[in-house]
Amino acid sequence: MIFGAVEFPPIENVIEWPAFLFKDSDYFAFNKIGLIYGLGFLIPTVIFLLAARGDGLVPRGFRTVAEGIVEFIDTQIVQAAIGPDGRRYMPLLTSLFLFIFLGNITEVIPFFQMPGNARMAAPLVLALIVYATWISVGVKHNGIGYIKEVLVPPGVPKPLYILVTPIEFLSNFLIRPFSHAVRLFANMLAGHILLVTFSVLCIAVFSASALIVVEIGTFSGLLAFTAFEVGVSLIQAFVFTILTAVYIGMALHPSH
Amino acid sequence: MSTLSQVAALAAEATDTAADDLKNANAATGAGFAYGLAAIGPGIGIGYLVGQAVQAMARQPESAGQVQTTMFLGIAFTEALALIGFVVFILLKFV
Amino acid sequence: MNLMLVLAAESTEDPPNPVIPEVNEIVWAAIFFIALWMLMKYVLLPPIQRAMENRSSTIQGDRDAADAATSALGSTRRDYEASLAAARSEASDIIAAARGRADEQRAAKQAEADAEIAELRRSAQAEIDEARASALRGMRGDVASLAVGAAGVVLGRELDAGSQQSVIDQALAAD
Repeated sequence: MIFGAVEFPPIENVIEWPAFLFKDSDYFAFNKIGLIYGLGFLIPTVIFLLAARGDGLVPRGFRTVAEGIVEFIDTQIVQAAIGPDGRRYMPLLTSLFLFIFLGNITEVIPFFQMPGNARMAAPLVLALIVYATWISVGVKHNGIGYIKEVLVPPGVPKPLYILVTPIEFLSNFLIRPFSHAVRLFANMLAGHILLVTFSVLCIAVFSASALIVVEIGTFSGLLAFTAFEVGVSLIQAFVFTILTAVYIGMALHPSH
Repeated sequence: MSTLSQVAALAAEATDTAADDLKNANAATGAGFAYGLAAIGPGIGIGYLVGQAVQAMARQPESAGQVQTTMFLGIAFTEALALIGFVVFILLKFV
Repeated sequence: MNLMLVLAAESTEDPPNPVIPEVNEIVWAAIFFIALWMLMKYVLLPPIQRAMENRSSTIQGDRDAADAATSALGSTRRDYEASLAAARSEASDIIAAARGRADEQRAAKQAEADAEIAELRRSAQAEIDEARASALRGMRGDVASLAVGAAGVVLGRELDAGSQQSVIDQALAAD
């Protein structure tokens, strides 16, 4: 067999990392994933703190970066999915976008090369926070009748409610948060496994001396998929955030 | 006595590993089918969706931004099925 | 035997499920995300948004001021042009009026002068006529006496006044 040297490592070697802080604690063991989440907190904080200096009448340096992010989220996400009254959800959406993007982009950064969101932890936490947020927004703005309005949508013939209500319950209250979390998690895990596969292939071909010619193909494939994963990181952060905005918008204006 | 028990143990072990191998092979096959089948529908769906979005953008270039946002949303919804198939693949293959 | 033990150990230990999240990672994700969210809400985002709003309102204000100045400039120019046109028409009115008045005055002066000239001519004519008449009268007397003298000399006698006069009249008429 030509590719006798190709051996995919066990999955836990690819996505699980040993703790290096608080090793004994079950709840606070701090590993590479925790470090990535920590960077997802630290980098936006530093950028925005540095951006807040000065009067800001003429933006420069970090302020340009921060204002670009805020402008992007305002026009592309808030105005597109909620409308002008969505401004007060800017903090949630901005932190979601930055936290997810930084958790994704570590997939292609040397020495990390592991997307933090390829572990179910952050997607699950974020999806649950979003779930709680849109339900509370709906109940706050439309009263407790909002739940009834979701489950029993108006304008449906009476007998069909036997069918519609369970479907609405499943799709809105069970599948929505689940797919919200799984979409991000599975995309990042798939991208990570793809990159690992190509890296393993490159190493195997490199060590098999006669097949060194194939290395051109596998290595350019690895480079292409790395570039592709940069785009995926951005788009997944965008998609998660705009879905959050859409859910909040549907809770704010349930009639449309 | 001890030799006998050792032979019996080895035989049991052989049947165990054979059963394990069978289980693993079935799991791998199932995983492959699960992901392959799960990818068909979303593949067609995303192709259709992006094609229509490109057509819309070509017809009305001034609304390209909105069409693009809606396209990403639609892709996200369609893609979910393929991703659930991928999760099933992971569960079958590695668990 | 060792192999069996290893196998047993492996089968009792659950292989890690890559889909199920680990508790410690959930804890750290929640801590870091909620910290970021709260910081974003109360510390990080407000100054940026405030600065952006200030800037956009400053730009809007400046643009409004520029628009107002432009419209003020337009109205000032209109006012200026209107007053210029008014001054121009007033000036032409004044000129026309002055010209009319001058024409009038000239005509009046002309008429006065003409009348004066006519008057002078008339009085001169009268004086001339008078002078001619008086000259004629004087001449008539002189001529009569001269003629009477001459005739007296010629006739050698004194003619009485009545006959003299008739003779003279006859002579003059014979002229």
